[in-house]
Amino acid sequence: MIIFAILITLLILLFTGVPIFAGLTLFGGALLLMTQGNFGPITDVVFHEVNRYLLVAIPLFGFMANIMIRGRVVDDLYDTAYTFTRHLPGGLAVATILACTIFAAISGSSVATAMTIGAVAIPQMLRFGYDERLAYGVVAAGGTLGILIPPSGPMILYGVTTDTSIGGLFMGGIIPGAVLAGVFILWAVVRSALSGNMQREKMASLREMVIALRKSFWSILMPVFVLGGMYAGIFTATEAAAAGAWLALIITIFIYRTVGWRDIWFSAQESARMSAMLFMILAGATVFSHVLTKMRVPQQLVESLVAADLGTIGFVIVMMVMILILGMFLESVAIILITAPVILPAMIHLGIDPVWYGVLLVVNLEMAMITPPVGMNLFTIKAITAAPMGRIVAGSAPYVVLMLVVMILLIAFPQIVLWLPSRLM
Amino acid sequence: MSTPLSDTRSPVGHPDLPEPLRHFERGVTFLVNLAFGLATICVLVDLFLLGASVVARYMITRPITWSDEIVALSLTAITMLAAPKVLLDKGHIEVDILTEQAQGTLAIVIRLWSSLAVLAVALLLIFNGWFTAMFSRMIGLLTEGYLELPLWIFQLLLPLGGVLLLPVILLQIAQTLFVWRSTTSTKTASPDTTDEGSNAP
Repeated sequence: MIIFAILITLLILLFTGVPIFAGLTLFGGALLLMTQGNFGPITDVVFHEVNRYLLVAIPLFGFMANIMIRGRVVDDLYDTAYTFTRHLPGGLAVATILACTIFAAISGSSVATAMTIGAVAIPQMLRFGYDERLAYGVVAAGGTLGILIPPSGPMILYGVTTDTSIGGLFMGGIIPGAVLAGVFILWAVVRSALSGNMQREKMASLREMVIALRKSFWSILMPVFVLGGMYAGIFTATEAAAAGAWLALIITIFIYRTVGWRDIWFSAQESARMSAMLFMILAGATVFSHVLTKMRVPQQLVESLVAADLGTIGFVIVMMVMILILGMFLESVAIILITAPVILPAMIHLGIDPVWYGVLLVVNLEMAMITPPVGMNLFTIKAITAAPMGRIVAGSAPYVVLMLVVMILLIAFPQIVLWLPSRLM
Repeated sequence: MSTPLSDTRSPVGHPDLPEPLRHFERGVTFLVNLAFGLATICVLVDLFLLGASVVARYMITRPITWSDEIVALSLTAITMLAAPKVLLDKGHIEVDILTEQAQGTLAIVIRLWSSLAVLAVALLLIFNGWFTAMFSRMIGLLTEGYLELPLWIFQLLLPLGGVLLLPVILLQIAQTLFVWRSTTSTKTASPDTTDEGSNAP
C-alpha cells in the first residue's frame, strides 16, 4: 500500500541523519514535485499552520516550567512527597513517582520531569541502598507522566493537528495519568518489599505532614490554578499558560525571591529554543501531510480499512502497534505530526472519539520514551547518572509492561478516559 | 534520538580553524544571537500581551481584541528567528542511532548530507516564501481578525528565516570540510596511523 511505502521511505531518509524538520520538508517537497510538478504555495500552508493561537500555549507553558525550575520552587516537592511516603517499603521510590506526578502537572514535558526530579531523587535512592535499576526505572517511568498529565505539549500539538478540544484532551489525561502513577507506585512498593533491602522510617506525624505541605504549597498550587482555571471555564488553554507563567513569576520573584531578570531572560530563551525546534518539525510535517492529502492517501487508508473490516478496536490496536514500533525509533512530536493528519479521516469514518485516541496515543508515546534504541527519558537518565544504558533499560522494562497493561485497559474501557471530559465539558 | 552532533564531534571552536573561517564564525554567531534575542523578546511580548488580555477581559471587562491575533502571528517570528540559533547549537532533533556509529569519511559525508538537506529547506523557504509573500502583496491579502494587517509583511518572515539559516549552513559545511582536510593531511603526514578516522568528526 502506498502509505507504507511512503512511511518506509521517510524513515530511511530520517535514518540518514538529517534533522527531522528537514527530512519531512524535503520528502514532502519531493513528493509535491513528483505529483504536481511544482511546490505550489507551500510556505503559505506552513505559515497558516504555524500561526495558530492555540500553539502559543507551548512556549508559555515552557516558560512557566523553566521559571519554576530556576526559582527552585519544585525542590520542596520531593521532600514533601517523601514525608508522606517514608513509612512505605520503597518510600523514596514512591516519593519520586508522586513528585513526578505533581511536577508533570507543572512542566508538560517528560524530559523536563525526568531531569528535574531525577537529579534530586536518583542520588538519594542510591545513597539509601536502593537497587540502581529500580532507581533509574522509577525516574524514567515517572518522568513519562509529564506528557500525559496536563498541561501536555504533545496533547496541544495533537489537538491543533486534529482540531480536537485541548481542554478535553487535558481532562482525558487526568484519570489515566493517576491510574498509571498508582500502578507505578504499587509496583515500586511490591518490588521494594520483595527485595527487602531498603531502609524504612516511621510514619510522619500529622504536624510533619502539615509542615511539609506548607513548604510545597506553591508548587502544588500551580497545577490547581492552571488546570482549575481551565476546567472552571475561566481560561482557554493559551490563557491558562499565560496566567500560569505570570503566577510562576509572582511566586518566584515575590515569595521565594529566587528569580531575577537574568532568569526571566534565560527562561524565555529556553522557551524560544524549544518552540523553534518543535515548530520547525510542525512546518515540515505540514508540508508532508499537505502532499499526502493531495495524493488522497488518507482517503485510500479509509478505503483500505473499510475493505479490511477491522472495526474500531481492530483499527486502534493496529495503530497502537504501529506507533509502538515507530516510537522505538522516532521522537514523539514527529510521530504525532506524521500519523495524526493521515489517520484523521479514518478516525472520523470509524467514529473514534479523538480525545480517547489522543490519550491512547500519548500513553503509547510515554512507552516510546523508555523503549530502546531511541528513548528520550533513557538518554536523560544516562545524562544525569552516566550509568550503563543496559542497566537503565533493564530498570525501565517493567514499567513498559505496566504501561502496556494500562493501555489495554484504556482500550477496553474508554470511559476511563472519557468520563471526566464528559462530566466537565 | 538526539541533537545532530555531540560536542566531541563538532568542529566548532577547532583550535586550528583558519582566521577567515574564525571571523566568519564570529559574524554568524553575532547575527544568529541577534535574531535569537528578538525571538526571546517575542516570547516575553506574548507573555505580557496575554497576561494583559486576561486582566482586561476578566477584571476590567474590556477585552483587548487584537492581542490574540498578534500573539498568533508572533509564532512564525519566534520559529524563524530562533531556528538558526538551534541549528548553530546543533539542537534540532534527528534520528542518529545509525549515523552516530559512522566514523572517518562516512561521518563527514553524513554531516555534509545533513547540511545540504537543511540548505535545500532554507532555499525553499527563501524562494517559495518570497513568491508567496509577493503574491499576497499583489492581491492585497490581509490578516484575518480585527487588525487586518497586510499579510505579506508577516509572510516575509519565512524567507527571512531561510536567509538566517543560510550562513549557519555555510559555516557548518566549511567547518566540516576543514576538519575533513585536516584529518586527511594528518593521515598523509603519518602514514603508519592504523586507527583510521579516529580524529574525524
